[in-house]
Amino acid sequence: MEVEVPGGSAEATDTGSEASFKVSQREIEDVEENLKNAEAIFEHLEQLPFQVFILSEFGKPIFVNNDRDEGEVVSLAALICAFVSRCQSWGDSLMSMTSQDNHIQFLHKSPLIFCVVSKYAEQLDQQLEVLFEQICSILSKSQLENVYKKKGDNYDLRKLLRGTDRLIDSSISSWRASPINLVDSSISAIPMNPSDREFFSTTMASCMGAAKLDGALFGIMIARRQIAAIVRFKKYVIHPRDLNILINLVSDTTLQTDSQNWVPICLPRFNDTGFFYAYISYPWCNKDQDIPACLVLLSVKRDHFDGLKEVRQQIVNKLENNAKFFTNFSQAVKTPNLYQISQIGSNSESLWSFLYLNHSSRQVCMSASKIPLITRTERWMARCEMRRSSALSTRHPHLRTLFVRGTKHCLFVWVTDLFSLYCIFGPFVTAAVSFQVVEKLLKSLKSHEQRYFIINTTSF
Amino acid sequence: MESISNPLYFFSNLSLNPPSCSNVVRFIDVLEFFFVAHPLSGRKEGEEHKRIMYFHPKSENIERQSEITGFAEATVNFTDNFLSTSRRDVAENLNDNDDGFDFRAVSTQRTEHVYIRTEDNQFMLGVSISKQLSLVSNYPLFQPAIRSILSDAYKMFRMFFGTFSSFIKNGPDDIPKFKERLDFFFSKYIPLLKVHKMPLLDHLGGVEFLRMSGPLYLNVVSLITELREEFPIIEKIMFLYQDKLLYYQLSKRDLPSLFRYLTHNLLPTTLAPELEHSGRNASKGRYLRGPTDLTTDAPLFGDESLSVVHLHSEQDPEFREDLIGYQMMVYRCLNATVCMFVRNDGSNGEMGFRRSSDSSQSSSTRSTPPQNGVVSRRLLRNIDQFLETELAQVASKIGDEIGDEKLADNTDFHYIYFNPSSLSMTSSLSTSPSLSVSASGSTSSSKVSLPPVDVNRLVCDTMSNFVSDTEEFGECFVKSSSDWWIVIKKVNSRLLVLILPPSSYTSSLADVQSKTATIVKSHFEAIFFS
Repeated sequence: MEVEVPGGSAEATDTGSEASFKVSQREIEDVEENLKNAEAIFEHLEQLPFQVFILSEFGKPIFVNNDRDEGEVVSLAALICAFVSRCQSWGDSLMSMTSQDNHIQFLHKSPLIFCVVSKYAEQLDQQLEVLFEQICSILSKSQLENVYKKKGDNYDLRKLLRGTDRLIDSSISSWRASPINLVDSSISAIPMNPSDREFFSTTMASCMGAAKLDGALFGIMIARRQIAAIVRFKKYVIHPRDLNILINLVSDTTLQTDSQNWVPICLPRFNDTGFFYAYISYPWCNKDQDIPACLVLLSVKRDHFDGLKEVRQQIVNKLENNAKFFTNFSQAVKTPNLYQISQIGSNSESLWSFLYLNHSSRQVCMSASKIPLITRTERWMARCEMRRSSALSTRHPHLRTLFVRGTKHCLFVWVTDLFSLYCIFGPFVTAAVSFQVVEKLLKSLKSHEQRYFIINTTSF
Repeated sequence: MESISNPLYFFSNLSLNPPSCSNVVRFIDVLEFFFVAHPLSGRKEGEEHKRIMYFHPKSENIERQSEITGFAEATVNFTDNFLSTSRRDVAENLNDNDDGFDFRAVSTQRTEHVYIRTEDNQFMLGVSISKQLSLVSNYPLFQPAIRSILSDAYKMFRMFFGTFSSFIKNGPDDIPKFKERLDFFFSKYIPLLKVHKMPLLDHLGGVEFLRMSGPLYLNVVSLITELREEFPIIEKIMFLYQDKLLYYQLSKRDLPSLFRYLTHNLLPTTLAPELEHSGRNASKGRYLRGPTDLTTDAPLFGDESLSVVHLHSEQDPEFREDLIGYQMMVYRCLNATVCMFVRNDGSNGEMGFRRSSDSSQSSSTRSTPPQNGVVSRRLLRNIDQFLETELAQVASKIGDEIGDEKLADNTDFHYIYFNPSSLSMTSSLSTSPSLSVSASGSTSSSKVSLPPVDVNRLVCDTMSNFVSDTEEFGECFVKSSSDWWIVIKKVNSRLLVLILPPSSYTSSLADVQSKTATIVKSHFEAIFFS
């Protein structure tokens, strides 16, 4: 369960809110027997920020992430289905319901219906899209569409999805850790020396290229839910959403052994009808080094297992042989050197946290947490502010600048065609000062660009 | 049915087609449906349609009416599944104290529905706005505003006819009568309803006060004090000049509805006759409602009797829901309007008379056969005698003072100011019903063009996302790509929204801050300390 989130605490590794959150979701299952009365269950459900229901459009429950009893789930699923089909009968489609303290979002993607109940209104539609793509990655969209035609309306899709609940679960958990659209439609790079990253990418590219495997398209190194290096065949591109599906897959602890895995996976943004075969290995996991890095090699050919195994070995050998690189690399992955706000220089104490999104590469850079945004609640608060402002700028594409002075902190948002920047400042900052700091920050990010972003994807 | 005693007589067709450049949109131009339902009446299978008490448009077939109301009811039940424990308790205690109607909103691809429940959740009102039509009409959809529009519609009905439950307390036999009333009211109310293109105005729902000097205000207060001393039967009172409020003594919960009715419906309709007769007796006051002939003592019947409004009692704690019927007298003189309310309750009325200094009055009411309400021609006559000189004096003083002042509308920005504790609201984006325009003889023309619809929408969304209802202080600067700036300031719960058009003076955040400071200093210093 050692999953660190982008922008996690600089000094501690195990305070990642996501990791702890995952635990809290699991805990519910563990203590299920203790929840004798309904009140306690309700109280428990309240702690779930997102209650998710996935069902077939015929009303059969497929996935829920809460411990309501089966009967209740069935009747709720029937209701959800009835709402959706009633709107459909009106030639309309249901999107959301709001009550005093809940937001319920619906997504109908035939043959499935997704529904999430949350206290937070932002980005729920995006989140459901992510879940849909998560399921597509397991079955592929075409297979999903055909299964009910072949097996009948009453088919229980859970048979086909057996064992993948935890992927959906962890996808849901990741919502909490991240300002969602920033992370699920974007990725972040693990900070590395530019020369090290360069060496890494060219090594991977040359090994992939030398193997001459027709159909092997991508090589990706993932660590702490971030990308260390990525190489591609010619001009093929992989969408950040697809990358996040991969990240979610390799963060699954059951895979994390020193053995290798050969997993068919559909990347819906790349092609929602076919499958990739992912050669997944954790070359330095559970050995003396224990570097939580994962190498993923993607091919469209089912019979590339041996070939990619070969490539993997070559990459690992070459990387390990460069001692200087390897020390730096393991350091970078074990204790990520996140962007420290003090790097900006003078006057930056007023800046508490920031998140920078580059629009063209869809890469984000989030500052290392610093006082006073350290505890889980504090960081959650900061993320909520960022989520909310990012939701506002999604709804209002013409939004350019936003400065909010609150009693506890200030929020500064700056959106241009090139980037979006979300900053949390202390409560006493003036707009003018915050603007100065932001300008310095942008300069600093520019000069360290290659450390925090993957500027060019190496091709082979 | 449409007698003069009916308050809705004055819901007449004023200007039905606002010009395209106007601040408002006709509600029916964006409306898909509106309904009032009583879920209990449709519990039996096959009789679901019986829950429908009122439905607009009437042309909709009954099945779809049932579907829509059923959908609304199901939405309420479904969302209740997810109420958190803390909210559960609150929801049970949540009477419709006026700020907190229990609501649900549903958003679909094509529409936005809002449902509210009232009167111990026995009744449900629902409305659906078409997203397509609102786009065409340049009306930004803002769910909290639609909620306010819906609850305002309910409150307006309640003010004139009392609570929904009072209609059906004797059982299902009364339902036809209830439906008739709803139909009578809403069939007029909805087609005439106009909503602001700046939805925040409908959401805040304040009233506009007249700014005036201290001494003059004292004049008004002493006039009202004397009036009440002379006629203790008058329990509540409102004083307006043109379409602005000067003074009120009634529950804050009734103020917005009453004010809206007076300024949007009653006063504009009386303007035409006033202009006609302007030649003679301009300073002579008169009643806008009720009998024309005050010289006899004939009891007031039918068309001549005064209308009754249902208001909250001031003495009761704020959460009391009981409404009391009051007869409303509206007296107008030289642009000044005094609105007086007398309890429409036999026993109380009698007591009021006994306390009255004018003892002959009580004898006159006793000697005459029972009439509609306690207000008699004699009372009207006496008040008229009292007011005609006093009010004319005060009114002309006010007229002199505000005549000297230049209209503050000559600004190069748009603004909304709202003080939740007094409900005082003023805005360059609000409607000025034809009244003030023609009465003051000048069109309120602001130098700046109206903000584009996306800016209005941004104002609303910024408000609801970044200006907390609970915090008393806050500040917010937003810039859109069209170079409009939005400034929201909240100081001591008072809210100021400035909408600054693109200009070379406001290119940076710092410029906007200093511009804001200048504006606050020059225009809002008196009411907005910052």
